[in-house]
Formats: sequence, structure tokens, C-alpha cells
Amino acid sequence: MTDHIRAESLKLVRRPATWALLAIALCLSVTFTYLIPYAGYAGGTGGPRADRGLDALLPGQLVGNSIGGLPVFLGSLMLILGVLAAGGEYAWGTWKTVLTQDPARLRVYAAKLVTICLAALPVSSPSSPPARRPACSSPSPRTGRSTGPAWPTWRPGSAPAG
Amino acid sequence: MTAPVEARRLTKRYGTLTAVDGLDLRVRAGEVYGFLGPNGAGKTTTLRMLLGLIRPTSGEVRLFGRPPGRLDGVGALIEGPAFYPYLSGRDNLRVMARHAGVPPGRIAAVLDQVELTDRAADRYAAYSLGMKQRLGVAAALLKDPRLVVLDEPTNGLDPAGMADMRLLVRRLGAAGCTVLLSSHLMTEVQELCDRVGVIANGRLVAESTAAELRGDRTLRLVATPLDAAAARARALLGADAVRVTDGGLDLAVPPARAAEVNAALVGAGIAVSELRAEERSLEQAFFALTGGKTDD
Repeated sequence: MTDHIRAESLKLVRRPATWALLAIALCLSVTFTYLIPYAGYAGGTGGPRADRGLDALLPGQLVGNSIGGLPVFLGSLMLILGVLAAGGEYAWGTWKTVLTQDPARLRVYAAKLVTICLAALPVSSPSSPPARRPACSSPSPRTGRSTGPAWPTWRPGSAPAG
Repeated sequence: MTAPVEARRLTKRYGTLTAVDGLDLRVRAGEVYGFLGPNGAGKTTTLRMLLGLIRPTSGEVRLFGRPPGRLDGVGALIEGPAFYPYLSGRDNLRVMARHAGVPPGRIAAVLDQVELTDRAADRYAAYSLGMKQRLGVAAALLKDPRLVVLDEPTNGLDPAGMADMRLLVRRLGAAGCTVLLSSHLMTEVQELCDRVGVIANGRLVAESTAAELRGDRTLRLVATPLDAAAARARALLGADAVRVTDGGLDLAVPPARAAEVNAALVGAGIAVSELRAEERSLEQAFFALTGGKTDD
């Protein structure tokens, strides 16, 4: 099983599409959590986050802001990652190559699922759970310097409107 | 010792189409077995069933006496090579070695075996067909298998690539590895295999040694006047052995008798303009092996 996971990780890490997805995630997060709210603030037209104030948009808050915005599209990006990882094997016909190396399909499929979950974990874990926690609606010293102020202004479901 | 490959009454149906029909196959340890048949005869379907890639409709398969689901000691290249185009040849083998659970030390060994070490760092997508094919064989050899299944390994290769591939198969056989090889090329199977199974329309229509196949070569004769030549040849070789086709004669005798035939005809005042040993085409072989009962 460990061997299969190591094989899957190699496929995933060396694949350009994986890094393209990561780049897309970063671009989207900067656009939705930083550029658009800033445009709303600068334009003064009362956009979705016009009440946020300039200090929440300063570069010091970039990390927190970006992470705060990830859950909005993270699900779909992870879905694409999963489709690419499983679909590629069909498209290239590589299932047969893999399954002649080890015919235990359940083990091979499970390893792929585990690997994708492991890959998704570091991106999704810092962002999704705190967003659901009510404690995060007020600034908390526990959440640390950069992420702290980002949470209060972010509301689930507000960003897609922008 | 149990046979490396044993299949009994193997059948695969796709809806109303019967791809493989009650096929019995037995490959003995250490032999190079050729699986010969035209495209669509059911070769690949059979090999896929042997490896457990698809489930037979009925019948059973044993590899080294074991039921399907275990392929340790078995390497395979089915329906052409398939790898990750964005990875280098070496990384592709690294992935497959991990899947197979073999130590990474095997990678350099198999790359060497298929003579791909020089280009191992290049992306698979940039490989020529011959190199892809060789990488496919390399992956099949990762497990240091006792049985190698190769499905049309020379398909799409240029003559040099074909020669390389045949040399590789011969080396495997010489090293004591059992090889099950499918092909639609008569000459290839004759050259490489100890025993040959001929498959047509999903049935094993004949099984023989390569020597038997080779023994059935014929002589092609072109001479004038043709009717006199035919009469003289019939008198010499028997009426059954002579057939008139396409402005010449097909003589069903071993090529070693060419000189004798030639001397007899020339002695009878017949001008012999062409006399050569002829490889039987696959259709002719089918005709001979099945006694004329090919289904199409």
C-alpha cells in the first residue's frame, strides 16, 4: 500500500497540471479576496466588502485573506484534481500498465484516493474548519498574527457574489 | 511443475459477439509460445483474460497453477505501451516499480536490457514508437518475471526496431524465461517461437511446432510452356502436390527438392524462368492448418 501511495505521489508531484491548479488557486484567491474587495473600496460604490476598511487589504494581511477565500472554489479545484488523477489513467491507457504490475485493483484505487486526499489536506485544512467555527467571528489571539484579522470580515457565501 | 499458462474452455462474449470461443491453451515452462492470428481473431482478448484485466464469460485461467488475481513473476505488455507522457522514461519505470513493489535497483537493469539508458531522462511524450515499445518491455521485465506476455511487440516498428525486439525476445527465451508472444506475422513467429498456436475467430484452430510450420514451405515455379511443366511436375511429385496459380505453379514440396525439380524440367526441354522457395502467407497457413475450414 505504501509503495502504491509513493507511486501515486510521484505521478501527482511531477505532473504540470497539478501545479497549474495550484497557480489557479492562488490567482483566484488573490483576485477574490484582495483585488475585488479593494476595487470595491477604492471605487467607493458600496461593493460586497466596502465596509472592510483599507487595513484588512494591506499586504500584511495577504496570507490570511487568501486562505480565507479558498473554501469558495477549493471544492471545485479539488474535484478537478481528482478527475485529472483518475481520468488520466483512462485517457493514457495506463491502468493496464499499472494493473499488470499489481492486479489488486482495490489496493491501487485506494492508494490513489488516499494520495489525492493527502494532497488536498494541506490546502484545505487551514481554511475550511475555522470558517465554520463561530469563535472565529471575532478576532482571536489564538489564530495568530496573519490569519487573525482576516476571519471576521469573511462570511461564507459572500465572496461568489462579488 | 505446473504450466506457466493454462486456460480451459476460455470464452468471452460481448453481447452477441463471441470474441473468444472455448479456447484451450497450455504454455510449457521455458518455451517461447507464439500466438498467431489475424487482427480481430481474439489474441488480445485472450491475453487480457489470462492477465485478469478482463473477466472471462466462462472458462478458467491458471498462471503457475494460481487463479487470477496474482501476477508476481509475470510481466506483460498488452496492446502497445501506455505510460505517463509528462514523466521521463526512468520516472515512468520508477512509478511502475513502486506499483509492482520491486526495488528501484531493477530500473537501471531493465533500462540496460532494452538499451534505453541513453534516453531514460527524456520525457516519454518525446519518444519514438520503437522507444515507447522498448520502455513497455522494460516495464514488463521489472518484476524479473518467469513469464513474459508480449502482445504484438513489433507492431508499428521499423525493420531495425523489429530486429532489436526479436533479439530481445530471443535473449529472454535463452535466459530460461517463458514467453507468450502474440503476432500476426508468420515469419516472426516462425523465427522466434518453439511452439505456435493459431487462432482464428476466437478459436484455437491449430497448434504445432515452428519446425512443422517451416516444413510446409512450398516452391514457386514459373516456366514455359506451363501446361507441359505442370504435367512433368505432376509425374515427378504427384498430382496432389501441384497447383496452377497466377501463371505459375505452386509445388507443395520442401525447398530442398528445387534442384531435382529444375533438372527434371530442363531435361524435358521446358524453359524454367523462376524457381524459388516461398514463404506461405498467413492465409495459406490457415488453409493448410485448418484443412480449408476457415470461417470466412
